[in-house]
Amino acid sequence: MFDVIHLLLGDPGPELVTVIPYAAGASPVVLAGWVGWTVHCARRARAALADRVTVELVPTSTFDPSEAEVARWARQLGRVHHAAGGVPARGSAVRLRYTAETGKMRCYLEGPRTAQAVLTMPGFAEVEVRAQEDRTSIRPVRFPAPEGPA
Amino acid sequence: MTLTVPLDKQTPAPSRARYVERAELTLGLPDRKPLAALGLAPDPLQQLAAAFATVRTESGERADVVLDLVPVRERHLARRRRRLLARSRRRGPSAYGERLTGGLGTGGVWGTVAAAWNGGTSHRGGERLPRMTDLRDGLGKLAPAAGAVFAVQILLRAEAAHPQAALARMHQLLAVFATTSGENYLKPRRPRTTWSIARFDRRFESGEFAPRRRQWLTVPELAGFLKPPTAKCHASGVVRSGGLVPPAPADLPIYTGQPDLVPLGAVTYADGRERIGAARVQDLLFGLQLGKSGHGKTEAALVQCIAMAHSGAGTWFLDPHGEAWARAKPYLAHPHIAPRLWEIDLGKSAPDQFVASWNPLSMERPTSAVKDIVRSVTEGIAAAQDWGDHAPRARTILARTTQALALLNQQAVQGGAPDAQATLFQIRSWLTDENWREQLLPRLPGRVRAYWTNTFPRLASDAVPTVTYAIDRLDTSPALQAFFGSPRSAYDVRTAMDSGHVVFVCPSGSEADALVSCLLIHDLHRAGLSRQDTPRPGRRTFWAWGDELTALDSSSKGFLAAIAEQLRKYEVRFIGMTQMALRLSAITRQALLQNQSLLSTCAADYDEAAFVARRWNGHVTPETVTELPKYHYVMSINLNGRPTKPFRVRGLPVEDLFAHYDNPDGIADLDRAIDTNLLRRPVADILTSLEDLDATLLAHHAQRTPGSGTDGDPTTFVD
Repeated sequence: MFDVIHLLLGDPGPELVTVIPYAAGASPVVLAGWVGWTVHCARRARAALADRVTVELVPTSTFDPSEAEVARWARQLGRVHHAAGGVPARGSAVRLRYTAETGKMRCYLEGPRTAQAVLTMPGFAEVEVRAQEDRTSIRPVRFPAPEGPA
Repeated sequence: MTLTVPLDKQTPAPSRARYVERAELTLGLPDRKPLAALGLAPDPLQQLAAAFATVRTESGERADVVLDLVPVRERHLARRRRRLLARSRRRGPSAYGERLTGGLGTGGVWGTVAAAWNGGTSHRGGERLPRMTDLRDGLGKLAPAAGAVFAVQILLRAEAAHPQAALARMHQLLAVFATTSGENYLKPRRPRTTWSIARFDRRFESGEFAPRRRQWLTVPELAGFLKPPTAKCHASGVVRSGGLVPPAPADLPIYTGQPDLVPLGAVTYADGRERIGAARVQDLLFGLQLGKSGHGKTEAALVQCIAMAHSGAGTWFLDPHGEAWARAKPYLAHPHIAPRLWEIDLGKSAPDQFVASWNPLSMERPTSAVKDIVRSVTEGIAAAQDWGDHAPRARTILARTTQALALLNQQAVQGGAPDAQATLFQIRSWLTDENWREQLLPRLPGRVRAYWTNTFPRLASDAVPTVTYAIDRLDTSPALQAFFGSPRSAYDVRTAMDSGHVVFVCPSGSEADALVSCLLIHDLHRAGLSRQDTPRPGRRTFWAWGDELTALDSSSKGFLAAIAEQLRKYEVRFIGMTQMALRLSAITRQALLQNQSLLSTCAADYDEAAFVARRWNGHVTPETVTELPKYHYVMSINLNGRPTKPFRVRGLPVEDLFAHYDNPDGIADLDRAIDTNLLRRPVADILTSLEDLDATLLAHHAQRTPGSGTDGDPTTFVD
């Protein structure tokens, strides 16, 4: 083995010569750890992407923020990634989506569900944060007694 | 040989093919060079809104722009700055991105190589500090004062039924972002291969953040696209809320069917979740709902009415348009409600149809006072006829007539002949048939009789038709003849109050909707006040909803004010609805607003909106109210004894809220139960009796007249 090292690296010095065999022995472990970590991160990102929250941002007709307000809002948006609970950036980005529905422009904000509290927090005084349909907790009423038909 | 040529045109089926254009925007130059800072005025989203304005979603077109943002950590920024500084130092003096000196730098790897070339000596003495401008150029936008920096992924997608349309749309989107070109620019990258298209679609659909290359952008570069369209975006095709409305109170009760709550509609709570908001019964004494027709006032009232009916409370719903009852019926067809249900439907007029009757002049209830009956009927008719202050003679004649007939009815009931009571139609007989009147006058007290013998004949005869005109209108409809033509009342709102009945009144379809509505509401007021005879703890809460308040206010100016001020004391909770609060008289308006514990408005005209907005101390602008979508309200209620700030409410349809109680199969049983509850009779029977009622009255009272002394056939008195 030492011959191979000498052949490849010339005369690397005594310390390096001592370390290299151990490093070579540990490298599969490091590689396996790296692969495992990567797979773990990918799984977390995938799980976060599968469960995202969307809110609609509806401005008023008088909404006129200053650049400083937008900068503060940007800081708030930045917290979405941090509020995602350590999910890698691949799965924890906050998304601003501009879309057209019947000729009307709508603005949505999307992010991982773990950051829902930040997403639903109003950033501007004159922008209403509206939950999407799946955010409704409205269920048909049941009166306590007497009961309705089966 | 014959050849058959098909002449019918074959219309090709619309193509379902979709063509999609995709593009990812990446910085064309190193990301330390900034894009143009567009600022916020005009709004950079203006062009985007213009591009979106022509997207026909209904034809399957789509256009989307997404910006994915991940904040760059400070330590990553610091590392990047160090590298850029080192690079700048190596580069030496430069201007406009070009190196000014051809000399090699003395630092870094190249410095080491140069030193080795020179025999291990370095020209330390020749090394100079880099210029500040070079460092600034080297760092570019990533200087420490840059503020928040984001790693950004920008994806554009356009979809259309024709490839050229999709392409044109994509060009529009690219043009929007072309405005950001400055020192740097955004370069569109279109995925061409199957793999790259799939990768793009995966990122687009899932929200995955995997930009093609690193691109860090600062807030000034992004600001125009980081927020919803502002007021500076003048494009019309932008969804806006119209104005700011304070959030709902955090302690607003959530309705799940509790009997002590009244549902208001869907409310967004502080956690962003929509729930059914509610007001407490104890807090809701008088309500006022304003707004345009067809924007959900009646539906909101119907939801509340059905909820309270299921909770066991008595309800009274005046449904002038007649549609609410049809909608409510399947949700009330349940065994525990059917025995309490009354329906007054004036749309029924076929001879064999069963109808309920009401005699506003009936004195069968022991607690009925003549003066209350007189006031109720007079004010009701005067309001419907819009007499106002202009017809004092007609009003007096009507009051005197009502008084006389009520006194006669009282005697008839005391004499054990409730079927000999006069109805509204006898008002006309009393005023126009002098012989009939004179035969009945001896039965009245002297002071009453004196008016008819001394005063009435001196009045000009043109005042009488003003009164009889109202009765003539009632007489044009078999449904109204049947409803008002029976001497005995099955409908008695005081009974409904005390027994918790569920009453729906539908004057729709009759020729005198306003007259009927006015009479009924004045009767409700009278019945509510008559609860003075019941101790406060014994008064059962009764809910009433009445529409078109403006019509009621036109004559009796203090009446609606009295309803607002007085009925709540007698546990009658009235919720009034009107399109135009400004048409109400000042007294009425002040009383309604002073006493309301629920003030709600849907979309309204600007003047109306400004009027309501003033009640809310500037928490809501008139523009907010004018731009409310259909079935959305702004309302304030009393909560824990204090008025809340206004908040948004979305109306909920009856079908959604009471889906578990939809029982269309039970309607037939419900109708039979109503027949029993209201002792309904066929229209033909009632009309036949009405024909002979004048004679019946005369017969009964003449028999009892001192000195007449005959028990013969009543008809002989008429002859």
